Amino acid sequence: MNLKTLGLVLLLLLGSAVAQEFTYLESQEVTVIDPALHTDESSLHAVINMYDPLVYPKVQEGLMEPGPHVAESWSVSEDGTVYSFKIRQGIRFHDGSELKAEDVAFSMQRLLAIQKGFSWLFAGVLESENIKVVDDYTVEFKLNNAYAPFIPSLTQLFIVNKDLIMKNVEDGEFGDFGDYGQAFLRDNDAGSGPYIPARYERASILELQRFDDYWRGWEEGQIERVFYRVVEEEATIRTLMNSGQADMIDQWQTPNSYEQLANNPNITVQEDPSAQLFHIEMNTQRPPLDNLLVRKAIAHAFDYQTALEQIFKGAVQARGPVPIKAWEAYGREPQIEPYLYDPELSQQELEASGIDPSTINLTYVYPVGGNVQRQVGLLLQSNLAQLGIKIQLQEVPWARIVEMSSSPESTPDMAAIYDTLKYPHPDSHLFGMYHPSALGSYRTISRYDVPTVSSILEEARSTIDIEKQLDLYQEAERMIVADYPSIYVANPLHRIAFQNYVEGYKYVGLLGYDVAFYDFRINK
Amino acid sequence: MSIWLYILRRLIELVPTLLGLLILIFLIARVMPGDPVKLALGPEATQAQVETFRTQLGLDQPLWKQFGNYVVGLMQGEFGVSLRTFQDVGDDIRDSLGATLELVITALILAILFGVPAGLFSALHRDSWIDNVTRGVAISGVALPRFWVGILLQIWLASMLGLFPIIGRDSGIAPEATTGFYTIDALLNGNLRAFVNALWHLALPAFTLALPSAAQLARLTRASMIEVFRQQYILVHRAYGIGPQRIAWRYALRNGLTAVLTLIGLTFGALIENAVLVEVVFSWPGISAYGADAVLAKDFNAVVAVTLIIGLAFLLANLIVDLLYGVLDPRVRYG
Repeated sequence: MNLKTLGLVLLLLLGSAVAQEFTYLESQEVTVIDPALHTDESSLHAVINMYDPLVYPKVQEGLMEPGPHVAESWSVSEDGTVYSFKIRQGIRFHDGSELKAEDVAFSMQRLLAIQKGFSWLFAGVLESENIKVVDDYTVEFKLNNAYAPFIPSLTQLFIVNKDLIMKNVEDGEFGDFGDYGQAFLRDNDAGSGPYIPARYERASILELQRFDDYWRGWEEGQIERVFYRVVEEEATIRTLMNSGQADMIDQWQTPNSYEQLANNPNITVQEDPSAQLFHIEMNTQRPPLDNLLVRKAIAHAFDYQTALEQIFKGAVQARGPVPIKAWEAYGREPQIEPYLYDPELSQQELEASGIDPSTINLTYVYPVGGNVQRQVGLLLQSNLAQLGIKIQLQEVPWARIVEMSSSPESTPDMAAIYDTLKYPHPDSHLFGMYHPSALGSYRTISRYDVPTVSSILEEARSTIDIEKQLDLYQEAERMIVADYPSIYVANPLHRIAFQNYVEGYKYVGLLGYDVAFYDFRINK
Repeated sequence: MSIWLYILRRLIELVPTLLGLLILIFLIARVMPGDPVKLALGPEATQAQVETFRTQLGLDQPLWKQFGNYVVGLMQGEFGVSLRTFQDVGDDIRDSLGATLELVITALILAILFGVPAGLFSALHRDSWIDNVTRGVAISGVALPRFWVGILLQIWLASMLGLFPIIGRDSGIAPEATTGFYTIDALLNGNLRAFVNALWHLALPAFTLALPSAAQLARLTRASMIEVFRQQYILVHRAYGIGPQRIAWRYALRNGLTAVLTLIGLTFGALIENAVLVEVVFSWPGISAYGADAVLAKDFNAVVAVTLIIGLAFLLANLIVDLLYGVLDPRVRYG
């Protein structure tokens, strides 16, 4: 018996083989599985597969725009403040009880009370006491003000089983609700989603088992058992994938890894433009970057093509702050023309500003380990040297960037930032980055504060008519881009790799929703 | 003084050392740059959210008070809330500590089993071809980076030959937890299949981790034995006509091993440190990888707890080594 057969025999003896198993590899640990706490991608994956959200992006149509799910339909009052949702009948929780309006209201109240995870989406928008259960299958939310991104935000409202949680509450700070079941949901679930957790170890594995009574039903070829494994080392991930011991890997590997995997004839590497913005924010409050002409000169001195081809290895050039995918989701073409590499224009603008380039010395901050950000910084450094402008690259821990951006004094001159769409709506990359109420985060290092733009954004948020609303957002974006608060570099490619026999993978741009195991089919 | 009194005294002496370590790491973890609460809640968190969580964590209180609360909590076995998992750090660590200790202790045993005999053999057959081969292997063993060796072993033995699993601690048949050591737990449950499975998963990471330490031990054992062979009392033994084998095993070995024992104590600490890379490569759910992630996320309670526990393990390992000196060398008196 040779070594290979011996190995196979050992594998057969020790491992157990069951049909339609699926191994997914993720490089970050699954920190939580409680739908009031999750923020990162791996936790989101856990929640999406174990729970049902009120509305669900239209993944099958390839759009991130939300469509019906637990909510069968909804209506909005004239003034845009009262939303009434019709709840689908016959949805069963994993314990067999039926999902009702009461559970929806409870899920929202729980999220608002715990104040973690995605609760910020609704902070200041909705108060707990304004949630009303009209009947078993109708629930009403009365907002403080009209708020355009409300429905898109509900893709993060996952419905929990109220009775099950209330049976399992422990003492806590929420009065009658105790700890709101936080201790219970640490290792258990209270969902109605397609999968039930069979084993959960934060840093190594989440094992999911099909829920037979799932309301959307099951068909041949769907995945029955998922091994969601946490593997940090890139080389290990490649080895597992090449040897066929993994079926799919996450999006966090370097471009080189995907290139190597694509050479394997059994593996598909799927690339889509992501709903992510990579940009270099420029602090518009501090001289000399408070001068529009200087910012303009810098933005046109950057060699976009080289960055996209050599550093991002294929990416779409950003057209303004809003990722192109976010406009497409609402059937709109992005109207912004990308900034162009134009050294002559750059030179002219700089001269017009009247500032001596040799006096300009800027800092460019990027997070530790950010290889792409460092390369972009070096490219910018050499591009600006042509103008006589000096920049210094500073590699600092991410926690430090978060801290620096909290006050005007400590905000750096420039920072290289990846910014993912937070909810499926252009509002995420406009209001969240350019309205003064958002100031103080890594998203607002440009410290942009222009009253005319602010009032358009406010108006857009409270406009009910969707077309009018989108017009306003596009107008605001045009004005912002003309002010050059950032060098908008790229909508990088989202890459993911899977074995050829995996079918049904679709990327719509919304974090986490592409890895819903229910959508996949195995065709071996 | 009896040995028990000595152990008791040494254990009491651990307290100020640990307290010093605690104060140091507590301060460092809290003054690391970056706002941990904002980082934990995400950039979009509202000010109210941040303030609420800050109060929950007790960060609104003066530092000395925070420290007092922490020590009081520690007495009750509470390590504080983790910023990543929102649960007590103790719960996070419980499982991962067993994983790391099992890996590190297995690696230590492997390192001793390979390293010490190899060094002895080299010393006995000094400058022979066996000695040269051993020394060559030992030098490369020290020089090769562990993560690289780990990746090579994965590709050759695990992926190409399929002899070992590539990652993880078990194939879904984890034994019921009593000690946190899968091998021991499996034996306690009488589950032979799980025991073999645990060993099978342990083999590559433990070997990868052990290799450089084994190489170091081999080199030191060799040098130390050669040193002992040069001593006058060995010459006297020779003069009495005692055979070389008897001299080596009966008279030289014990003396030679005292220095080796010191290194073994230090090796234990080094193994915990180096376990980070091995744990990452083999997806071993251990405390070292947990600690590294904690530092990046500025999860201060987790950083303090991990440092404290690793520090304690290190101190205890050195205590055991000190006790073993007495076993090896009758001249050592406890007092």
